[in-house]
Amino acid sequence: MEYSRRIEVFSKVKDQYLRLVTAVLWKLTGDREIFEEAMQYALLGMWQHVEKLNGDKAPAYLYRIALSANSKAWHNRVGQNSDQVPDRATVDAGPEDKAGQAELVAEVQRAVARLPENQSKAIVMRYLEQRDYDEIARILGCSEVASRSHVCKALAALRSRLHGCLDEE
Amino acid sequence: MSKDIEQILNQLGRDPVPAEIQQLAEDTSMRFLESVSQTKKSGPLILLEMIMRNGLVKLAAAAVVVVAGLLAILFWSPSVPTAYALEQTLAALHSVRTLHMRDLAPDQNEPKEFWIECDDAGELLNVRMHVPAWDSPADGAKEVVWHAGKAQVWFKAKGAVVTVNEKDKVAQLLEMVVAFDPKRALERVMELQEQGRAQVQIEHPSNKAEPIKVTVTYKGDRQDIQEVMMINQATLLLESKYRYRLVNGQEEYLGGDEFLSYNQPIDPSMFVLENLPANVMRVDMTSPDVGLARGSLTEEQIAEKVAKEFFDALVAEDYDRAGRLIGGLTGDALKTMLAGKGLKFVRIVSIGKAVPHPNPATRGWAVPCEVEMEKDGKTSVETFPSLGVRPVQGQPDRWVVFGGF
Repeated sequence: MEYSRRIEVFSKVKDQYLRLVTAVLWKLTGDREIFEEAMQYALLGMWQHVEKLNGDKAPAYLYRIALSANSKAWHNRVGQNSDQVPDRATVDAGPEDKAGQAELVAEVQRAVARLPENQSKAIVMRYLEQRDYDEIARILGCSEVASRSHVCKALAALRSRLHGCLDEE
Repeated sequence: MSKDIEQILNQLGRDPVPAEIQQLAEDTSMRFLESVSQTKKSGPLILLEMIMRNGLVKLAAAAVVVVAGLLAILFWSPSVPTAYALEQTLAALHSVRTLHMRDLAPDQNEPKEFWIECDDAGELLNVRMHVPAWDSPADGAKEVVWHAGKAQVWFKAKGAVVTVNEKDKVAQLLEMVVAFDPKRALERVMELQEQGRAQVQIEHPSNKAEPIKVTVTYKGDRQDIQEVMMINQATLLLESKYRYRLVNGQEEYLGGDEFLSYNQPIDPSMFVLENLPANVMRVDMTSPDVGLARGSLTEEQIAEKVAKEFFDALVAEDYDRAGRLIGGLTGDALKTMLAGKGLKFVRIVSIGKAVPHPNPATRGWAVPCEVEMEKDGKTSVETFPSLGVRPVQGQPDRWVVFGGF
């Protein structure tokens, strides 16, 4: 694709999908700094694969790009994370308080990012975007039954992974 | 707290995206579009632009900005023949060996500050940066020095110096410097100008003591972004670059870069962390034997194994081994730390199942552990509900304890 055409398509895709990507990334990160980094990776992904974002399958690719960006955003934060320093102040710290709501949400967000791709996409669309199953099926290019299956498997995987962190009702 | 996964997910879905986050996304995408519009060598440049805010590589980005600035002004300047200007400018570019600059953020008084030194071949040799606490409140203020693929980060508030590998990012950086084509950048801006998506205004004072002012306004759907560059007429080097958002005729300052000196000798001591407190804790994550190799284990399995071996080493009073398992802390430092608190590890009572760490940003696992300990002669069973374990920075196959215990 000619460079000027590439910019034109990217610009169009950006205008069309920026709100969607923003919402997905914000709900998967919940942190301003990480969101910004994830957004940068997402834009880079959109730029690199802009040819694929100019057709019917664009939404499916966008979810893949957004999920990948979310995952990358946690990496490569040089000196940005104090947890890499053993904190002497915590050496004799007592038992930590039970995780609060914010931590629970953060755990769920992270666990979603670790799901297999289709399950992760399905969960994002179903819950974070509140889409219907037929719409999810259309975007994923599968049957409605399969889309429900992705969501069920994802929920089971999340419950299994977060067992002990959450009191299931 | 009783909370179902679906409840949490539904709540996330219902929560609106804050307006400031929408704005941040708009700004980020606008900047990205500017970047791709300015160069055909998109990959490395964009990568660099993206990580500018996030650490070490910021430094070298500055050098590229300088080059772009001076080339652009020469091309645009009506008083300088283009061919001659290009030749001169390239010569100027290749002559830059040191740079001292600072990065300003809106609403922050203290800037980030950077010193860069290249060798005669133009290869990055040394870097230092001062990062104020506002950049990362969890870390506090940091001093970073980089040399030969390794970065040392001094976390002042925590009294710790961490050494990490930084080869990949620097390699990216150098690739970008080589790949960047300022002539293309200029062409892209001019093309944008022709398309009505950018406006370039140049003020070239006749008084040579005054800087040339170049204003580039990138047109957006909802807002415009403006960059104002001041260029020294004598040296043709960029002195400053400030960014603004223009909404309904109102100008909002977004920050900028000031280039304080070029080619001024930098005291070698700047590239060494000096005057560290005597009791500073040193952690070396570049050592090849830090942590444990994951091998074919799952993340959960290696996390549990590291936790067990860590406490095994403490029980055996093998502090060197325990230090390697907690990110490269020296055995002596660990021994002194524990002795100072009158702690002795007697035996492991239990090592639980690893679960994702409560702080997702760590990308680690939390392992609940129970250990019988002796403190000042009294024995008790202590619980460590979430001992953190994760991959070593720069050595993703090796795993260590992090975040204290």
